[in-house]
Amino acid sequence: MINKILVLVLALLLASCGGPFTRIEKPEYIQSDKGYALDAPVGWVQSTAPQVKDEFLISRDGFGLQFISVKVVPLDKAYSTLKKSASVATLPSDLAEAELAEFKAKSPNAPSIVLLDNTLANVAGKKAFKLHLKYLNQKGLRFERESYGFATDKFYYTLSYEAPSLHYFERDRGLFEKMVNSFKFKS
Amino acid sequence: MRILILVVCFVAALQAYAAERLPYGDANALQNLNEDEKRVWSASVDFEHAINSSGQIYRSSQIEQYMQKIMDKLYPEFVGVIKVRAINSPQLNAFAIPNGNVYMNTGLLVRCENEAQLATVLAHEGAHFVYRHGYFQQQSVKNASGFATITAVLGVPVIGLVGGLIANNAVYGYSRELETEADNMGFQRLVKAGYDVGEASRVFEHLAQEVKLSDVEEKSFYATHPKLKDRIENFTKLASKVSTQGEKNEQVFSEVVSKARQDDLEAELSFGRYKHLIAMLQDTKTQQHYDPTWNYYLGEAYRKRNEKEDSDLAMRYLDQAILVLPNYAPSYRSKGLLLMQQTKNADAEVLLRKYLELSPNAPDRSYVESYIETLVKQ
Repeated sequence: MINKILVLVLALLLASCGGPFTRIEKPEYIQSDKGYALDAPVGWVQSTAPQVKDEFLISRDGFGLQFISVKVVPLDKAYSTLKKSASVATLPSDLAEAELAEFKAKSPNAPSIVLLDNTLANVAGKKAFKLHLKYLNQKGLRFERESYGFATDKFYYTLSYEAPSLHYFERDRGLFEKMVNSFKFKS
Repeated sequence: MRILILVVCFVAALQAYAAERLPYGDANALQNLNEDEKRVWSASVDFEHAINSSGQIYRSSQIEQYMQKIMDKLYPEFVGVIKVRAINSPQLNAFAIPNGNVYMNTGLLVRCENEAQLATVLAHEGAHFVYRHGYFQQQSVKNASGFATITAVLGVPVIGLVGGLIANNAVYGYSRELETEADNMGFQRLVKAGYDVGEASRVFEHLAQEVKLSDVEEKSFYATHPKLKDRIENFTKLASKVSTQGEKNEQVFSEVVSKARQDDLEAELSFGRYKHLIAMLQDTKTQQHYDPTWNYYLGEAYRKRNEKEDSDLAMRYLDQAILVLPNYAPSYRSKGLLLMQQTKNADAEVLLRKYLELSPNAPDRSYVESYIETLVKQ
């Protein structure tokens, strides 16, 4: 009896070591309730943690190091820290400025954030912003972030990619761009 | 007999407490730190390096030298020990770490209206160092569980309990007792240095306004502080007992911080602090501290906040900005976008074209060209 309990405890412990991640086995990722589909990189891992339920969050080397995120939230929750909403009529440049303000408001090291580029882009036929910025993380490591964003009549979408400037950012940037280009609306 | 023993013990304990709570007399006292205090000092040095290399320091030798001069005047026996630096952040905060480094956010610096108000903040922070508050706070805190979120607030790596405590004090301040002591001791330094102490309570009025605008509960954000209302009353009471004929030095202060004030307007916008910007620039006295571009910043803040009647107010200030500074490009952009949102397409197009004419290398050119294209099609 004791042996059975020990085996059960061990099995439970081992199961808990797996973590809330799943490996991406096929490229197409569909989020019908959020109305989109895209091609994700096979072999990366997706976080299935409950706190990222509004987000498609994937990484190749570990979420603390680099990640791609596709976040879809209702318009009234577009900028939760600023307590501001977006609308389908909000101009892309205004969305970009609000996105940057939200990122600064959330950032533990906001003064280190430097905007490198802010241009108009196109995602699945919709006018969107494209922001490129750099910042220092809490350990003083230089990171870069590229993000696209737009609003529809229902949701505020952001597709973003973050990685250390050294080695990682440029390595997977093309992959991220490919993923953005594959984005399509799907009802 | 038993009572006598109790009284002797009580007096002995009081003496021990008083001896323990002695402030540093001067810079020489730093040669005789006990082991615990040396540990706090060492963690402070790590913390100082982390802040200095985090990219948060506002680079202005003029402001640094000016603040340092004031601090040296307030604490002449600690010249070379208490060092002051500015942090590039619009949020209103200042803090001292136990090795004598004092940091003040540019947001609080530019909210001061004169040197006497700036000196109030510096005198208060200097008192935290001289009265060894970092060390005493470390001695009294037994529970380290509250520090997990501190690095996320301050944005620097914090190592161990002592580092966590230093960061905690930087963000949330010291205990009520120590804050009151810093207020009172700082006030004495202000009097001695010859500042107009009637200005001291104004600093806390700025903080009270920040609390109101930031939707933060005073009781949580300033949990360990005496209530701001009580502090304003305390300073008013202290000031009523002494002459308020001291120095304000408004002119020299304005000259030194003029660039930081302009930079702060941009920072307020880029941090999405529209309410703060509006509250600040609606004040006619504050408007005089800025060059005429304040009209644009106020108009843009109204446009971005976009609450009821904000578009009318945005239009009013943007019109005024164009009138007083006809070659200032951002006003045309902001008014053009406002008109575009109101579907006044022809007028919007003219203004956006004027913006690109005045600012041919505008970083947002791709957006504006696309808006013009849309307007032309419509």
